[in-house]
Amino acid sequence: MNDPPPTTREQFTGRISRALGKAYAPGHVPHPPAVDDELARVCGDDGDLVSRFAERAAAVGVDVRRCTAGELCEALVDVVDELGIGSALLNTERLRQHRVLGDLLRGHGVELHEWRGDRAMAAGFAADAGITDAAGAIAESGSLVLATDGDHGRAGALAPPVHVAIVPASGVVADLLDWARALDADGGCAPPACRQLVTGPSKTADIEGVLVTGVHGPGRVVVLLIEDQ
Amino acid sequence: MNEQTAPVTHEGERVLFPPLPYDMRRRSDAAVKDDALRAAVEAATLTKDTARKATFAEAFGERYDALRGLAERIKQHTLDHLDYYLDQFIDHAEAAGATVHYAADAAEANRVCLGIAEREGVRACVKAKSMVTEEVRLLEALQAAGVETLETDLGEFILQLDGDAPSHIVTPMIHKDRASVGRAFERELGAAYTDEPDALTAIAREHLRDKYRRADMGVTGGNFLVAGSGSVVVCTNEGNGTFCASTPRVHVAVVGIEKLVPTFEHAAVLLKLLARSSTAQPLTVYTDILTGPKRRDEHDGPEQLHVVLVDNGRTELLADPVMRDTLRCIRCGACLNACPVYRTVGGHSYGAVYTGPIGALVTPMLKGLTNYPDLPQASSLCGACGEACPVNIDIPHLLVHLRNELNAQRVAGRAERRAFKLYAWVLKKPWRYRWASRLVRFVLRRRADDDGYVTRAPGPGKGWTETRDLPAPAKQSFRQWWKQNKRDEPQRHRDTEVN
Repeated sequence: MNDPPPTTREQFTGRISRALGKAYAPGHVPHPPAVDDELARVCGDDGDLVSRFAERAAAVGVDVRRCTAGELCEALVDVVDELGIGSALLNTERLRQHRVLGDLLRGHGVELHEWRGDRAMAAGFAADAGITDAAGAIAESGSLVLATDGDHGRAGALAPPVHVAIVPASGVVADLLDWARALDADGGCAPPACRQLVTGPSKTADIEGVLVTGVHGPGRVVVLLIEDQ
Repeated sequence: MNEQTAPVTHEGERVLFPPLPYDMRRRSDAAVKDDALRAAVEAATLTKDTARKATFAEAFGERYDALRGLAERIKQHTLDHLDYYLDQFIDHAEAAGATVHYAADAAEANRVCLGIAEREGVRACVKAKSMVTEEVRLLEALQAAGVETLETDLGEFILQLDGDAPSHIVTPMIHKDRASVGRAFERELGAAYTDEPDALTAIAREHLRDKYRRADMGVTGGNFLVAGSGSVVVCTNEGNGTFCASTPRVHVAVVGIEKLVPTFEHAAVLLKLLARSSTAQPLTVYTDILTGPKRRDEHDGPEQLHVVLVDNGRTELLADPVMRDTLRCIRCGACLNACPVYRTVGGHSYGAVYTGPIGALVTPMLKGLTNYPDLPQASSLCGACGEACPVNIDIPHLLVHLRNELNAQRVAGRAERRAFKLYAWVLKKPWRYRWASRLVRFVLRRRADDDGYVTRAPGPGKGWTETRDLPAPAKQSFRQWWKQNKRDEPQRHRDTEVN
């Protein structure tokens, strides 16, 4: 079989330019439409953002528990006991309590899966829970903001049936617009390979419109919201 | 497991790729009489349509229409400068380590994906739901080349397993009931029969987890391409898209060129509209922003990210001064849920990948108007689709435009020409009109049944009453009524003044 030669970038974009009545792609274009906050903003950044986030996250099916940094260990142990978590992937390197949390969980009989190297996904599939810290959260939609780097993988928030996310209150932004504008302003820096907004537990309503959680991703998302961090 | 079966109907033709030109009536006639199908589709679409309106009212209130205007301007601006933004996207995506491929048509899109699979020695592939991959028939191409490929969206997975085809842009198995899922799982997966959605979902979950781990390649679509960062944005509710983009060694994102937006800020405006329009959620559960493959210091994620940019007729659309508006579509499915025709005939009646009001525009444009002459007619022009559209595509207006195109191409038959000549003759004199309408009223009222409906109109009207009943005309014409009441009116006025 003789395949035609592949379309090149120049041919591909050139056709689009011609369809737009131009000879080639222009070097600059008029400013794109300005995004007016009056129109697009759902959540103002005044008032109690943390409460609003907690409320919206609960509305999309997240189990939100508020605590102080000092109460975090206790809150985590409660979750472990309540959900019968026997093994976990612990992905909280960014938190200053990381070492403490690890010791706490091990001391509580929770097996911690090694997840570095190429073992991350296997650990995720094996663990009862992924315990991760979140880069932030969005009040408007009740979303967690996750980002990958050397200390943060994708498996923990995805593969186990339970995801426990530790969110510092200082990371909560009001509106999706605030989150997006921060990314745009970040232009100079190399972005992470994967950013994620997680808005509730994995959901489907494909079978007769009946809502079922936990179809591929975690069926249970618990947020430990640290109010003084 | 029968994963190779291509979707067929009971008549033996492919549901989404029927022989052309396509005759919609062959399927819609049967669909209209299928009470179970109608009930299922109607219930699901009405629920979604109601929830959509409520969520927008709650989040944006009076601002909603202006917000749609903003979304329209963002998409239109990007389309007007698509070559510029595409260049920007390609530069940024490549800088982040992605490989960008160019597919002029469906065949090339499949060749690119097969080429990647071949070079990487891919044997098993998992696929997320994506309209453009359905449009180019990627699944079939991969399977024909010996790459075991599995749909992972629960609905699509069930349809693939059962040899059925999707019928809705967002909720693909809206036409199917739980019992048929139970039977398919029993037959194809050897599972004990159950019709509990929870249990069925658990069976699919276990089956697919193993597939994610074994797959060498994951295929997804993309809801947005962010020019400013070279990112692909993928929205799913189940998390299957995230798995497809995370566990396999190679991730291939196949995306239509109309998905570009300038910046994250613009993407955010459209994200605010997308899930609210689809399923009344503030965002889909998973919104993944993928920029290049996994970095060297990361521990999971794909080693390669390939972005396949698909044209496949979109450039021609872009050059069409009227129909290019359809490129703004973000595939939310709101117009399907709002459409009384879609609710009645279901998605398979459209005989194509894109269904409902937007499908009635996109399908003829991508596959030829003469191949799908019925689709622009499959609308009552009630306007619900246009009102539901979050990016302000004037769907009713564009449907009328396509109807005009069809009429311009078509040579009217002799009977039709004669009928219109007679009609013009009748309309030329008031007395002719009066007598003609009197005649029509007389004939139709005599034919009406006890409920006042004409079930079989005479002569050339027969076709009209084949699928619906015509209410019999009133005893009195409006003109007669007007004559009487006009005379009475001043009389009554005078009476009230006296009292």
